Amino acid sequence: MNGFNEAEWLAKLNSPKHRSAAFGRIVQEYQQPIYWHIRKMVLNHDDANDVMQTTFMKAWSALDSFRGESKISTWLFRIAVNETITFLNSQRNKNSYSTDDIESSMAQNLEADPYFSGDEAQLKFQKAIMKLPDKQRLVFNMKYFDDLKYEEMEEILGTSVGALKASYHHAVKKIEAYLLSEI
Amino acid sequence: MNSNFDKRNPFTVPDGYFEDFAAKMASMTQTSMPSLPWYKKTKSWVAIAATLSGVLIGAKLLMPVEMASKTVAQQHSVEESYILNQMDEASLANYLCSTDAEGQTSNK
Repeated sequence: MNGFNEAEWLAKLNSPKHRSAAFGRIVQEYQQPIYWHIRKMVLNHDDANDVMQTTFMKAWSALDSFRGESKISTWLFRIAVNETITFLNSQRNKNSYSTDDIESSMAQNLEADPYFSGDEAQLKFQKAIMKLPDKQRLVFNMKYFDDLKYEEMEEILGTSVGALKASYHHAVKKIEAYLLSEI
Repeated sequence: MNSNFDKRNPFTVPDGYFEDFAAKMASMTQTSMPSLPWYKKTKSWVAIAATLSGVLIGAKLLMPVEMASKTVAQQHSVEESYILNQMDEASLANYLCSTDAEGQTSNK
């Protein structure tokens, strides 16, 4: 994120003349972390693309409610998390499958996904992560893959640091147990 | 955590995906401009001046009414106590009796 001065672009967002260009710059800056965060939750590229588009469009239409009290990235991550959870819930409601059915369908889709380049071990690891409840999966991905600090996660998820640490600890234990059972 | 499970990203995207996405978002935001609230459209000093003018005009309109009603009430109270102080008890009793008698006559 070199050369990105958040305060400068925030000021430009408040100027009608520069607003669209400033938002474009923000999309360029944050699209990749936001995309990968969503993708690790929904797994499929097309779904991740839809959720990311909704995320940025919601941010665009809610720009006036953003008062700069948090970092732009925190605000965008918060919208992305909400949109991802909404998407996963709607998928479950639409298909009215059981959790196990959804997991096995997601696993099959992942195996056939042309945009999944992981080896067998990585596929097994993803299957283990899929077993976690959505919120725990979010916490695990943010800590393990995105390497976010607990304090940042607290701001995004609105959950205390203590609860996040406990959630991550339980997630790791569950993943280890699953992987051991698969050997 | 098992060292075999490193943090390498096993997911990929179509070629040029992020460039295309940024361009798509740029065209979408250009066709749907969110409306800025008035206080963001105007310069801050204009907004401050408008707010101050509003406060001053409001104060000018409301103050005389409130002050006038307070003055009249205070004046009535001063007059009443002055008159009561001037009358002795007998005069006050006579006055009250005559008012009462007048009231009864008119009722008949």
